[in-house]
Amino acid sequence: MNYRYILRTVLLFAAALFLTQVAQAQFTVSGTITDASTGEPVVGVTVFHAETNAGTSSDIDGTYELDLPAGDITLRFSSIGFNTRNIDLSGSNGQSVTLDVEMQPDVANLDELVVTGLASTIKRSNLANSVSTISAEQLTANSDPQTLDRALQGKIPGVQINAYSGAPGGGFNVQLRGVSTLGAGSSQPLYIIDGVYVNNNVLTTGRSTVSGAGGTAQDGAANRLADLNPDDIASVEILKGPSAAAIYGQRANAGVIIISTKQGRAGATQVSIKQDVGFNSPLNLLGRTDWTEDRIDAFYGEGSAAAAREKGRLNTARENGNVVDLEEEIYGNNGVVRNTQISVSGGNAQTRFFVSGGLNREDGIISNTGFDRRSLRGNIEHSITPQVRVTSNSSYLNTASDRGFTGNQNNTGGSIGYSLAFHPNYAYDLIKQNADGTFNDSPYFSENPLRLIDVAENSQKINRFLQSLALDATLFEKDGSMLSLNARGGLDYTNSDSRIYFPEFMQFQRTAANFPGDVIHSAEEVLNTNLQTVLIFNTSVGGDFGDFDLTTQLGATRFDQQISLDRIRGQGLLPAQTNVGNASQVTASQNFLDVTDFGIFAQQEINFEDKVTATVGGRWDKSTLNLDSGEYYFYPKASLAVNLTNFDFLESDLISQLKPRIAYGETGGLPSFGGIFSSLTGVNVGSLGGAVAPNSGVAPGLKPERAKELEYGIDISLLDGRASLEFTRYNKTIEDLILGLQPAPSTGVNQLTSNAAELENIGTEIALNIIPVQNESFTWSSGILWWTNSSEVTNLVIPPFTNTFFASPTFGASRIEEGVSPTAIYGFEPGDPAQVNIGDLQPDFQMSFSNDFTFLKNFRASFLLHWSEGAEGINLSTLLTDSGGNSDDYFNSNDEIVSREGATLTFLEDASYLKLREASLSYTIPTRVLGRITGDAVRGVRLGVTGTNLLMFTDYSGYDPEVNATGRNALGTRVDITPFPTTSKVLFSVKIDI
Amino acid sequence: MKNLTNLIIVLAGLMILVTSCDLTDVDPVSDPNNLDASVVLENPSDGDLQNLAIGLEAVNRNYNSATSGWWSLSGTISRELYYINTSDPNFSQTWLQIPPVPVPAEDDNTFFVDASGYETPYFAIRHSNLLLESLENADFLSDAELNAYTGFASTLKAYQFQMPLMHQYQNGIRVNVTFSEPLEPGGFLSYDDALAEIRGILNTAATNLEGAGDSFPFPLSDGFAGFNTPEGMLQVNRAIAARYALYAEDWQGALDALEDSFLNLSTGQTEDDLYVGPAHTFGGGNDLFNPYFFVDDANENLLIVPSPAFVADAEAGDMRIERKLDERTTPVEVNDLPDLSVAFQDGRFATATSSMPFIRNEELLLIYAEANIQLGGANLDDAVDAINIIRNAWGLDPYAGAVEQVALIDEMLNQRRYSLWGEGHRWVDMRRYDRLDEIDTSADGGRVATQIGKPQGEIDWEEFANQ
Repeated sequence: MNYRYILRTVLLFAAALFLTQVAQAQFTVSGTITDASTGEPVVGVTVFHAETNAGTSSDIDGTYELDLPAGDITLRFSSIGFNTRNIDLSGSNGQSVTLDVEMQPDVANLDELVVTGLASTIKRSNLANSVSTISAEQLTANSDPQTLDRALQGKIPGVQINAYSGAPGGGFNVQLRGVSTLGAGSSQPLYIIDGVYVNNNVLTTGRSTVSGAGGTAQDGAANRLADLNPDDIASVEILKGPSAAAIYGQRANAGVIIISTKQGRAGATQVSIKQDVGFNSPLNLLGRTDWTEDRIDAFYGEGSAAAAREKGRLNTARENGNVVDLEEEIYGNNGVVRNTQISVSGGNAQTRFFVSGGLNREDGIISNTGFDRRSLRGNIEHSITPQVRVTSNSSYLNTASDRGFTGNQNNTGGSIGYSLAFHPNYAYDLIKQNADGTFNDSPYFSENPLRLIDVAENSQKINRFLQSLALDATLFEKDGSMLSLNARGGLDYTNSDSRIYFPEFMQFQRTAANFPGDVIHSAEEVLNTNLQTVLIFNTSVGGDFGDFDLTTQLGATRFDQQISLDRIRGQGLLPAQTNVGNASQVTASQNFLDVTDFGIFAQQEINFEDKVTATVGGRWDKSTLNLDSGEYYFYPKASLAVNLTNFDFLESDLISQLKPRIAYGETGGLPSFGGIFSSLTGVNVGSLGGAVAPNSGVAPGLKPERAKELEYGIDISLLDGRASLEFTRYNKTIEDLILGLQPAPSTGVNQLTSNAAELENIGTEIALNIIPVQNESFTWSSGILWWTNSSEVTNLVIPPFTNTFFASPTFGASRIEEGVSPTAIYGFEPGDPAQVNIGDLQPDFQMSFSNDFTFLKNFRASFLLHWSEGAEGINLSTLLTDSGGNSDDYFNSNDEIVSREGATLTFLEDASYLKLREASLSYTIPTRVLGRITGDAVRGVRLGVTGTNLLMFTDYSGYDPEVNATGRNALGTRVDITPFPTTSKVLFSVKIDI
Repeated sequence: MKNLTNLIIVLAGLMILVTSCDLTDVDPVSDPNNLDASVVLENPSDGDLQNLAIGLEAVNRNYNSATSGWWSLSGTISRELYYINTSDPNFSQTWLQIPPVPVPAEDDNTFFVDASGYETPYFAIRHSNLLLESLENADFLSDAELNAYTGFASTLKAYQFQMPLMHQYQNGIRVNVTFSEPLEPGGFLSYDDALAEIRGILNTAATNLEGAGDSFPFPLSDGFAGFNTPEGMLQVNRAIAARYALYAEDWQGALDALEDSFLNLSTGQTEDDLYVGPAHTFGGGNDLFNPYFFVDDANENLLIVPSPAFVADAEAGDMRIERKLDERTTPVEVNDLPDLSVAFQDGRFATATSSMPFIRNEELLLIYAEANIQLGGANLDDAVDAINIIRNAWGLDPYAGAVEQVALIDEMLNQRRYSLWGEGHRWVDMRRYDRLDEIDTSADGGRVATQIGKPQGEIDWEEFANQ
């Protein structure tokens, strides 16, 4: 080893000498590179001389130095976020030339590298798709998002992200470009982090079984993207539709989100410490009935025994001073939020590292709820030789969530909001905690909500390990052609341990349950592993017309997933015992999952002098999730982008880019695990156990769902990077949608899974980025996004049908019928027995307005407004609060009971909103001041205050129009049943860079 | 040089990796959580087949595993009993066809709670087809074992076809349905053709059972005690064949079948002798409970009561009234049926885990009698002997009426009415003899449906398949 090291060093030294010998005459260029808009030095600008392949990058002070051959040369200065500059200069042998450069911010990010194919990147200026990229700045600089999906809200056109619960730890439904499946496949995009196919499942806890809600979709657990630390992320790239994501094949119908974590950079070791402290509070409290004797009479009936009893309680409570706004009492707490992040990054030309640790703790607005995350990351990149580089990205995450009991319940009293709906404010006198710490039973509902908050447990602890390993090797290089190999493997191991516990002394358990005390332990393990190998060949072909840059890729990828879930429930518990060994009734269940995918892909890219870029490619995929697991399904792609400004005939100072583009791609949607099985069920007869045939089946020849998208648009960049417009229109059709076909009843089959429908999404996305004001003392940059999508079922082979959203058709339903939008809400109007279209779950359009200001040299402010208009949702909380007489608007000013619209219209509400998603103000201590205080030790200190979800303007009468009682849903259904209220957060932060 | 070395090293490494791990292989995954039907179909093991056979015995009961099952449905339509369920007025409105009836039963494609007569038996048929089709891939079975499985499955499959056949009657039914091809169900056969087809299945099954050796390679519950060998099952097969022969009016065929069945013609039989036959068991617990068990003076919300006519028309001293019915302290009162007043309820089963014979000696005696009556001549005496065995067992004097066909048919139908009360025969019997209009509906004011309309699902499928 030693010998080889010495040999290599000697060889390099010799090569260096050789090169310097060849270079004969030389001069040195040095200078400082600054940001033209602010005057601040820019770090990491690449200074490159093409002919000699000599390059360097600017350091923390913006200074650079480079040796170049004497004579006339052109130096290229490039950095992401700035316009590239090519500067001509000349120097003679031994001369030192000073060249200070000002870099103009490029709002269109034309030089940004965007990942296309599975192993290659392309400059944004040549990109033929509409791919959105969110940088680390945009993710975490202006707010402190608890989870990654929260950080993406309002920043990506074409995307609908709804928080289905306000509980700490997130829980988001992300839908790219409308409806991608009717439920048979995955409606969530594929997430890839550093090449690892990560698990974004919702790991269920069984809460709905204990609370009686029915169906694990109502467990209210968060999706596992919540485990990731947003502060570790360098960039997020969103491939919104098949035209961009085709190369990802059969898992990409709902889009692909590619996440890269921060990598170390060569240079001095940088340490960065961030500490945020703040609090959260409810975004929107609804208010409740202020009970008076007259109102009690109106509600319970004048002269009735119930009215007399309630009046008695009201008066007693008043005397004791115990009339309290229970909503405030339960939801009105301020939870403390703290976030500590430390990262160390550095390295040299051979090895670069990024190590970080994070501690994020957030208490919820309901007592005993909260979310903690501890994360540790180590990213190392090492160049074994200049041609071979290995990268290892490892991350260990540990999260603990306590999300409480909200949403639906049946009989057990197991939902705080549901129970609260039936408790008048004067009930505080009866339900408040006693001096000895116990709680009384509630006469208003099956459980005292204050006791439920205090003693019941809903906890989920996750241990997670992500590891990715990559090898990049240049195998062969000659005359400008290069053959390289990119191999990467990854694994994502998630271990979830959850416990739902209702102690035996709780009201329903004690008085009505057959076996008092209920606990469910769930242990779930998810292991994703993937392996990918790609060969890339770059070459340049000169012709009569000009130079063609050709990039060819060929590769194979494999993905495996194994999940095992063990759930054990104990009922009839001993005091304080959650071990099911001490339970009188034990039921257990298990579920296993095993999936393997394999695919081969190829892609050819042709770049004609950055004027015309064309790509064509295909992917062949097979999977054990398909009925025929050996069959390869083909997904093609093709795209074309023309940079009109790079042609001679169109040269303009005003327009720096005019690029029409068009792209087509197909992706697949695999049926969910189990969809292709029809299995026997167990049965008992006498003392014998047997097996019975399945009453459902799978149609022979079942194919995976397939999405086909044609996307076209134009990108315009004006005024030297001060303004850019991106306009995109797409038509995404999903074919072979998997639905249940009902065969003749004499076959004994209820349902045959078959390909039975086609669906079309048509939408428009417009992104306008401008820098309206740019001078030394004040800059303002702004981004306006506008997008819309409409969907329609275009072909349905089976007869049309309706699916109720929840329990009863009066609460709304979706209808699958040719010519109807799958997200339409069907319900009943008062007096009309027919079920008709009364609304739509998708908004008419969404718009976001983000602004960044820098002023007074060191101050920075920003805000992001998000407007969603025209969607409707179903608010069933109204049903509950009306039943309890506690809705804020239940009584009018004359103490009369207000009548509701009737039928489904009572619950149908306009879910449009305008939200102030993020706002921040920060101050960076000037470097001179810092230098005086700390010498050279500290490079930068930034103080700031950030807010998330600060304001909401909406006609919706519930806590938040985004929530859904049944979690993530392919159609984006939103049914509101006393959810965990959404919170608003304000944080004070200090960031120190050493 | 370095380039080439790099190239070779890396490619070699990859090749080793790929070939050692079989990375391009994607082995199909079978259901880790349940037993996949396709696995059993294509490659059954011995245990799989046994499980399916036990499963067949279990699903064989499903048509009658709910209180609203086939015996209640056909019993209510034929007015031998009333199924009272106050949670839904449709049980009286639709089943009894009490006016105003929006759509008469014969045209009603979505008849109320009639799955016991159609979807449920067809599901049992599906299960029997799974077993039969799996046998095709069970190479390890000996001929005797193969015959045993086939004979058992086909016999019960043929038994299940009765329900849809009687439910649909002249609409005809599909008989050639399979497990593996749900998209290609056989066409509709007329009542007579279907009957012939089903009898063919029974006859083939009998041949199978004859070649099935001495014992079954699978266990059966106590319900088949005395019949759980190929020999015993053959007797059951022939008993079912005799029943079908009556429906086909093949009188000699019925007698032939009875000869090989468990018919017991000895005189002096007791009630127990009459109840000999294979039975559905109800184990309780993880198993099912007998749905026709009622506690004394059971709540009127869910109950089966005999029709007043049944009680009133009984011969004095007929022990069947005492033995099959339980007296109530107060008569039943039902809002939906104001004219119904009867102080009896179903008392055939002593406990919730009593077994339920589905074809028994008493019926065989009656089939024997009917076949002989229809053949006429000297056979009439044999018929009278059979009828007297039954009359004697129930404490009645021997038959004293005319020994001639018309009178004996009336007597035989009367005995069937009382002996086989509530066992799903009355509607079929009255319909076979064209006597549906003689049924007394005064207690409810409704009408006796002759058959039920073709299920909507069948109509939709015909439309869909012919697009």
